[in-house]
Amino acid sequence: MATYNTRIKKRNASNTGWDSILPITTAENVLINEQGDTVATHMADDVQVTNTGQTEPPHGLPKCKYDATVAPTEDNDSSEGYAVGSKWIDTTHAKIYECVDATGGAAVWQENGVASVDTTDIPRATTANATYYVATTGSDENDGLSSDKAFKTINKALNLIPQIVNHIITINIADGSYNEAITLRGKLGGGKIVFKPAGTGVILTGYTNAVTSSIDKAAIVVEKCYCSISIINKPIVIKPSGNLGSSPFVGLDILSSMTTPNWFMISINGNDITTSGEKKGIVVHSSITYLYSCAISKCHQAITALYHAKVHSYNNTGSNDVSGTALYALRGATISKEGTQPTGATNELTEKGGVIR
Amino acid sequence: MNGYIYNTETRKIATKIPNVRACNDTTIKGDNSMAVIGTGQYIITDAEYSEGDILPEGIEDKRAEVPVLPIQY
Repeated sequence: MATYNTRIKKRNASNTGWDSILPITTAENVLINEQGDTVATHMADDVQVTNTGQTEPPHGLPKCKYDATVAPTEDNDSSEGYAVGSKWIDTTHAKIYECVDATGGAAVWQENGVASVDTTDIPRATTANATYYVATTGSDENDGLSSDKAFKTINKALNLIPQIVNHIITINIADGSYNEAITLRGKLGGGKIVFKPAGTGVILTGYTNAVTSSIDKAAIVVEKCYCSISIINKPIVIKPSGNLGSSPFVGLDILSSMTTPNWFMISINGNDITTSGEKKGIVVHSSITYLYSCAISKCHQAITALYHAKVHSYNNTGSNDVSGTALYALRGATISKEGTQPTGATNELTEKGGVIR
Repeated sequence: MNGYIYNTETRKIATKIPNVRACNDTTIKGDNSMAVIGTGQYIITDAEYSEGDILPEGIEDKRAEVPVLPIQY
């Protein structure tokens, strides 16, 4: 552990130099209790919280172990850092213990009953960059780590992504028609989730429930995500199969998320959507996102931003001239434009504090 | 008065701007909304329609009665 000395220098009486140098705070000379322990000795015992469910609480709290596979013994004592009040969860037998005596070689652990902590609910984090491959010719029994061992479904790869994303997770998608929807919910961290279609023939025909109210179905949903998420290289083509009846449909539905700095590329044509409800290309609700090289045609609204969303629209295209609006910002949302933009019978519409600039 | 942007061929109304305050060749400004015309055309009228309706033929365009919206750069 690094220690930093802060010193006070005092000028001498004749103001010609320094006559004392007083170290005042070092880890070695700051006492933290009456037994003579210092910050230095205390921090020397420090151990790191890991991403794997292990378990060192902040200083001042007793050490706990939440991922044990056996019951504690008398040797799990103060020499290992345990103290009175330490908790121990035996995940194999679903039991929880509390230390009532941490004496060396004679620790006493009292069983407190069945553990109520389900370790499967502990958020997991990425530990390294990963690249998965998906192809319609693949199999979800494969490991997905190479093009010749590709998964068959995009969702197989998605299910391997932990909630905390601190690395770059790339999903390479071969051309083909995928009868599934893409949903990303609750991802966060400093990493990236990157969808990378190989060509212009990656077609998504499935759909799921939308998360923005007033829309019923969506092909791609991003909800409450706070890490970079993007579709790059080539757009994913949205072509929902079947008849949606009267359900309003949106290709990409983003709610309460911050997905920048990378971008989304999708392609959607309203003529490919069978519904009597409204057809929307992209709806961004209370989120910050970046849309690049999207082609949105024959929709009632190409790009909609609402509820203080911030959307940057860069080199997007498409004609929505049936009765459509290309860019629509309302309720404090902002759409900033760069390069080409989709067109519509109405090119831009702002309402209730929305801004397009 | 209301502004309606409609598809030139089908006359289907794409956008309604209630309470039009000003307009020019490209833009209609209402109380709480503003629209930039794209491939459609627009008309200003007292008549009430909804988005998605087919605009009847022969409606008098009253844009001359509305103040001119200054062009902003």
